[in-house]
Amino acid sequence: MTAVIEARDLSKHFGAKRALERVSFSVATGRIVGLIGPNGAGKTTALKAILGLTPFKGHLSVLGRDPRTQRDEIMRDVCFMADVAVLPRWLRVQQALKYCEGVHPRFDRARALEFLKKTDIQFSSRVRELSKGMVTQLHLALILAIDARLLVLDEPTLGLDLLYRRQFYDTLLNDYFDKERTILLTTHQVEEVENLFTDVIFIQRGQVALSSSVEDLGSHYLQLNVSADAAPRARALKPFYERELFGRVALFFEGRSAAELAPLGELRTPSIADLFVAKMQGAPNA
Amino acid sequence: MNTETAALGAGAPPPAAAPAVTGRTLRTLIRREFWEHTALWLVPLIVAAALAVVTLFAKTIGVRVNDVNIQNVDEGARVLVLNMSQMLWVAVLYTAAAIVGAFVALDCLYAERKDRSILFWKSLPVSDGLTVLSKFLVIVAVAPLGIFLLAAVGHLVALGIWQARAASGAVPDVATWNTLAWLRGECVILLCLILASLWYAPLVAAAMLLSAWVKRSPLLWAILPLVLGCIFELIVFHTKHLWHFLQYRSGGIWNVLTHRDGYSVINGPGKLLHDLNWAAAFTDVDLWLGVLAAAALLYGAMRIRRYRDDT
Repeated sequence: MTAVIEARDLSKHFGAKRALERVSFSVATGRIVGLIGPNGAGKTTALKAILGLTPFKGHLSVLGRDPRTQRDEIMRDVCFMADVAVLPRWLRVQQALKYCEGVHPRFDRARALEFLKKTDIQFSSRVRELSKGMVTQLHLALILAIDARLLVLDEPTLGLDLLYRRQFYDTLLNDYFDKERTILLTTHQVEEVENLFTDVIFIQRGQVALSSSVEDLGSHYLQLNVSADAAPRARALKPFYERELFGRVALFFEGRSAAELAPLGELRTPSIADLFVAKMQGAPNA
Repeated sequence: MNTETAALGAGAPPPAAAPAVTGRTLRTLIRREFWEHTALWLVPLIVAAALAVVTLFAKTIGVRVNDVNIQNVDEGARVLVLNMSQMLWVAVLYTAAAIVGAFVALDCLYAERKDRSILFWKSLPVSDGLTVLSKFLVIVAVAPLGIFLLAAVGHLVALGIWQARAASGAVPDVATWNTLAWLRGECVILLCLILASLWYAPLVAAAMLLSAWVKRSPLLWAILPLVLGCIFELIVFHTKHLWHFLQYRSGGIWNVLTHRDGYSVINGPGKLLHDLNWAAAFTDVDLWLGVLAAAALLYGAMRIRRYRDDT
């Protein structure tokens, strides 16, 4: 499968702080990839490197181009949406449409209008007159109308209520995504979108803690729920993380077979959110 | 495919990017500036409207024409009034536009960082070079051209109003229409506007560099270091080189334009096209050094915008 993004030994330092340290990962065409990590882990820095917004060390290729020297070419095929507050407050809706139409050769005005018709947004309104949810809808309308190959979303639903968040991702999945397009998404609200992802990359303290397709997660990671009495036997198999819940213990294993663990308790594939917490808080391969 | 990409084995060759549409993009970027900085067109329009209102209600044209026997104002003097009023319109509108332009230059690359909208602008396929160039062109070319047209139309309207009032006897009939004199006046104005844009280009570019660079208060950064520099030089070295340089960069070219061999060439507004020292002004070394400096400063502003990351 063609790689849309290839990063190898990607590093970025802010003075003594290492935002990214020799990070390597790959994103294939037609995937929806979650770039997940705690605050300050380096997610946004990685996105900015991909978009050519910040200098970096190492090798990075986006759609076969170098973001350091070919940013302008890359941006013809890449769409980017940072959190909701980046549309200028003075801009009118009709101006936003005219602007995108004027500068983006792949902007389809009719498509944007089609989406905006479903909303309460007035064309003459300025961004500052719209609610936060409406601003996101406007930005989404602009993005949906661009025939891009890679869509990069950095916390796109931050600060929105549940209804807007759900609508945002539903629209993205139903009206935008197809097998020719790739979406790279960072979010804090992992639980809400984990069904969306085809791949996940966990970043912790500037390094990749996990990079896998969702379908492969089950063969590498298992969650075993056992009673407190049975926990010591399970611990002997060296889980990398465990947590107690209502008197039962959930243990997370990496690289153990289902046959080995099944007799000890209830076995399941961990959710991405649970696996994320386990990976961030547990010692890997403990 | 570059060597780095090949080394990475990043799959298929780069897909054909959509064709660049630079001309259309530049036009859109210029329109964008007028959407954001409404003062660029609103202020000159308001000033023009105010001048027209003055023409509607004024009783004299500033000189004490009531004391003069109007019948004795000869044709030459009436043509002079035509040219003088023509220049007055441009001078007033240009001054208003220059003040707005200074604020726009200081704000244009700062505001987008302050409100983080730079992340939106940069999410679209517009290069930093074209963005910076569009903002510069708006201030030094598009706005002055707009002032030229607005002043010409506004002056004609005002002249029409005045003549109509003069015909009814409400005001003295001090101006006359003379197409050749008017066209000569427009030529002088256009050349002066071009000269002004070239001469002030480094100031605009310096303001834009500051706008791209400073973390806050670009206006303060534009004024305070110069004021402190002048005071420092005066106190420590007892000299005024910086002050004299600033004075020179403010009006130096007009001195060149209005002098020949050390003598003033001004013989009234009707003969400016012939009298002014255009050759010396347009071949002035400092004028073109300033243009070069403007190019360097714009390049600096573009580089800062390209790599600055304070979002």
